[in-house]
Amino acid sequence: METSDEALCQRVAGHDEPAFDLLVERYQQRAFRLAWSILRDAEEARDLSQEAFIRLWEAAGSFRGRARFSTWFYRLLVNLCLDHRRKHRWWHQVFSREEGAGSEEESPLDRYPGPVTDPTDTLGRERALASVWESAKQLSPQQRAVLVLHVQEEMAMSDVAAVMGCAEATARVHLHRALTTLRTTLGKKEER
Amino acid sequence: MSRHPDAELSAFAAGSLTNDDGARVERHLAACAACRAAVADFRVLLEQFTATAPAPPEIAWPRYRAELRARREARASASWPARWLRPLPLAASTAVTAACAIVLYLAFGVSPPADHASIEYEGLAARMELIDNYRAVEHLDLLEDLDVIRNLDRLAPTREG
Repeated sequence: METSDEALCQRVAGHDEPAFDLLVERYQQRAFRLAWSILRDAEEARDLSQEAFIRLWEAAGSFRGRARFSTWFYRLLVNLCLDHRRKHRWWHQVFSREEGAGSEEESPLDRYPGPVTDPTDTLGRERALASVWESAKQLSPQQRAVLVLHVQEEMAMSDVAAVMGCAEATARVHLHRALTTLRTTLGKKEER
Repeated sequence: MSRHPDAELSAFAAGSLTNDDGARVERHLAACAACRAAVADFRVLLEQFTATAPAPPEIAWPRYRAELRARREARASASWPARWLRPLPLAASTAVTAACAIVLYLAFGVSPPADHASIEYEGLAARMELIDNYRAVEHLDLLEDLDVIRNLDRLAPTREG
């Protein structure tokens, strides 16, 4: 029977190297993907996901088992990503390091969508939908994190809230603002 | 019509509302075309997100883990308790101790310990009261006045007999 993440984490608290290696192997892809989805920068995602594992090694003893290990670890990682984004906000505003900058897929026109697409224009609608992840770059890091956790990681909103360290209602507001912004950006103005 | 349940619309579209909240939103949607349109759009957006999630860049995981191990070990060795508590190799610590002893000897002339004869003289010097009260001691019987002899240092210096 496979050892649970929680049991491995308890062993990591006693600086058990094999248990730590096993947790890293289980979570390395998810950690990198989550960090990359929030930051959209491979180097930063690599750096911060590794940092999250180092924090795990150092602070595994503080995991009390009240939540699932994945929730606890994701919270650690998401906090690192959001703190990093806050600290480097100005740098990113002046010199956007989003991956693929300058490529055809991500021309300034794509990154800053212009006039609203006519909803009746099927081709325009499809093109807009195809760039939904591109448009998500303009969301705040919190909004993007909630969206990624809920949609990509398929976490329930209660778990998303636990990872974000906020109330579930607050997490819902982040999700709603994210979707409303994207809806507007992608050419679907609300008509009420 | 009740007010638009804005924040709940997204959660409703994502299927993450509880039964009670979901039923309340459904009642609102039955009477509000704008919110129905919003929910429909949110569902399309969420489906697109799921269907078109971009794959992150490829990573060489063995290298990733090797980097992680190196970073973790560097962090551990950089922390001050580990640095100060880490035992020095025996040869290095012996060499450092020997060098310090030589330097101290040359600089301050630290002499070797005194010989046994010197220790005996020091013992005698510590009991000079016997000599100071010699005149009293010579009139005492060693066996009968043992207590007096033991307490000679408490006697007045001028006392005799």
